[in-house]
Amino acid sequence: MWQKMRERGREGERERFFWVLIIMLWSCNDSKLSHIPYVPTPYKLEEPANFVKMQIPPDNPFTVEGIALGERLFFDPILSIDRSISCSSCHIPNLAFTDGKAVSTGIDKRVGRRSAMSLINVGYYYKGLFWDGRVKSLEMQALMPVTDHREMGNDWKTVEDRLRRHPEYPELFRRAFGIKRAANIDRYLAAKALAQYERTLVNYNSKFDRVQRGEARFTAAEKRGWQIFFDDTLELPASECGHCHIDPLFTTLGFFNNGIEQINTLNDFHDKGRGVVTGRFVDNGKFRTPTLRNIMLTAPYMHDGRFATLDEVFDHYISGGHFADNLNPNVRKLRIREQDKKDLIAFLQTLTDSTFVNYSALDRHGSI
Amino acid sequence: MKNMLWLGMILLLLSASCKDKDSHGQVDINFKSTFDATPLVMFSQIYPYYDNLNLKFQLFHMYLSDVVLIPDDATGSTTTPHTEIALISFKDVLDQSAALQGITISANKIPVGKYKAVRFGLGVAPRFNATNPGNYTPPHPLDDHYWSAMLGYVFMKIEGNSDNDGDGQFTDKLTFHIGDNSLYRTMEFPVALEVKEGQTATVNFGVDLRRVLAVGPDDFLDPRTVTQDHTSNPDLYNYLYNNLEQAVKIKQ
Ligand code: HEC
Ligand code: HEC
Repeated sequence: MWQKMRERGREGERERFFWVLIIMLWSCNDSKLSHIPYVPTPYKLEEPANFVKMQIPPDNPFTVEGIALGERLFFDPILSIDRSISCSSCHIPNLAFTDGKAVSTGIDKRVGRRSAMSLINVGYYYKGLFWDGRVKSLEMQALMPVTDHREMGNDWKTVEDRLRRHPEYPELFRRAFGIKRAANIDRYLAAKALAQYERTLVNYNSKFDRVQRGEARFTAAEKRGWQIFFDDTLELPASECGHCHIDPLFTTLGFFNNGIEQINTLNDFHDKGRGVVTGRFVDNGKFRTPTLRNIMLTAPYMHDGRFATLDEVFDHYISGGHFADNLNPNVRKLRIREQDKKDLIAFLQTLTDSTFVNYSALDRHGSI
Repeated sequence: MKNMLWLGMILLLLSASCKDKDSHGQVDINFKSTFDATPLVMFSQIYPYYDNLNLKFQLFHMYLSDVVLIPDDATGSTTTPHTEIALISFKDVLDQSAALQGITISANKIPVGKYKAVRFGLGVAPRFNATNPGNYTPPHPLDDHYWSAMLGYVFMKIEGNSDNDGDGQFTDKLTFHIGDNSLYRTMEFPVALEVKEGQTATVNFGVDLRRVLAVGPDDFLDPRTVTQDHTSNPDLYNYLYNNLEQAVKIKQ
């Protein structure tokens, strides 16, 4: 009988030891965060009056802490497998969040498929993200670069693990989202924070905007360029640009074939763009119209970076573009002369906003 | 006990009369576009036009404002609102089945009863035309098609191609973007419409794009000489917009 009791006792001890071990392991890996206060500060974005209203998902409202965390993640190479590349490697603030390359390069100098897109005013792009519009929300988009083998080449399990073990991130996630322990950090919260940061990248302080608000005046050349851009008067030649690059976003966000590629049939596009997303033949070779804001900072141009300069872009549009069954009829031979081109470029220069040169959400939104 | 009975009866009566007042049905207003009698399909379909010319299209849209139903027993200006502003766009009509479906605007809080007419403004009513996309959260009919240089919306857009040299390639381009307060007009169509509780009644319209471009074989927009307008040439934009008014027909 004693024998039996002793055995049970030993079993009990073993059991106790097992639990202690589990708890110890648990606490090393997963510190409790409840001692850190969770008092998120709501943030109200200043929106320009003439932009459509930004759609902010109800389950990811702006908070100062969320934006700060998003900014930190955006600039942190911890997201890439070899810790060499951050979002900001391809979306450089001084280049209006593009990378200055025809197509972007990821880890190991892996060559990307398309040109990095400007993230300015990206919170307003409600007709789908990416050149082909394949993704609905910034929250969904933010999950993708990490696992894209041409970009960050990582997997989210690894990233989650790195963030949970990090000396600072658990606290930042706690302050932004009220998680109870480091183990609650996950990809979806990281994506939410990134999306909040990206939605703050609102641009409405270019000279063009100031002219619209009556705070500045166009020079004669800029004004003439503006009139040609928007086909304002029959006395000047029309450029047709405004049909697709309409203000204030300088894009309708519509998907079009603007005739940059020479093809025989709609099957021949090197990159079928929108057609792959919709499965419709007539959408092959269509891409989302990009903004022309900060266009001086975002060369080279088009989804594949085929044009190095605005001069080349204008030569393309003046020619009327390569014919295709779905070439948009607003792309047509133009009677634009050298002087008109110069004035158009003078106008496009008024779309540069230096707010984002050396931009920091932290500075702009107060210290956190 | 007696009191309770009375109360019950009053409640019953009240609820019955409320129910009567509150009963609604749905009214769908459907638009199908054709080119002459052929369903209008974007991109793929070729449409014979006048003078042996052929056309293709990529976009056709128009705006309607203040769509209302006029009750059968209406006195004076009594109307039942249906839709304040709608963009009737055939942009995504890419095959026959989409063309047969057409574009529908629905309202499901229409009081039951008989209606004798449908009325709407063709275009963007001046009070909406004084706004801009900054006033709206997408998706909204007025979140796009605003032309800031003219401070107004483009009421009607037609974009397409013609094959002027007959070589089978539709390389000649057509773009007509028309909108101005002066073009706004009200149209009224008699109907015999009965809205029943919880049911859907439909009013069908047709709009013939050929009629927008042409009055007939002797009076048509010639794509060999006229290829675009940005509401800059009054003769042309008035011609097209007056034609649009004629091209919209009710089908009962
Ligand atoms: C290796 C370069 C690279 C990295 C790293 C990168 N991006 Fe991008 N980004 C691109 C390219 C290229 C595109 C366009 C891709 C396409 O259309 O298929 C793009 C598109 C986007 C878009 C769509 C913008 C629009 O207007 O639709 C968003 C948003 C974006 N990136 C955010 C991010 C975020 C957030 C990160 C970090 C988690 C990131 N990117 C990392 C290259 C990169
Ligand atoms: C039919 C609509 C349409 C018209 C008209 C149009 N564009 Fe574009 N534009 C686009 C589309 C779509 C793209 C992207 C095409 C691609 O990358 O394949 C584009 C790309 C550009 C780019 C490259 C932007 C970048 O970030 O890479 C510039 C610059 C540009 N357009 C300027 C103009 C100018 C100037 C005009 C008038 C002369 C004009 N566009 C007329 C639709 C249009």
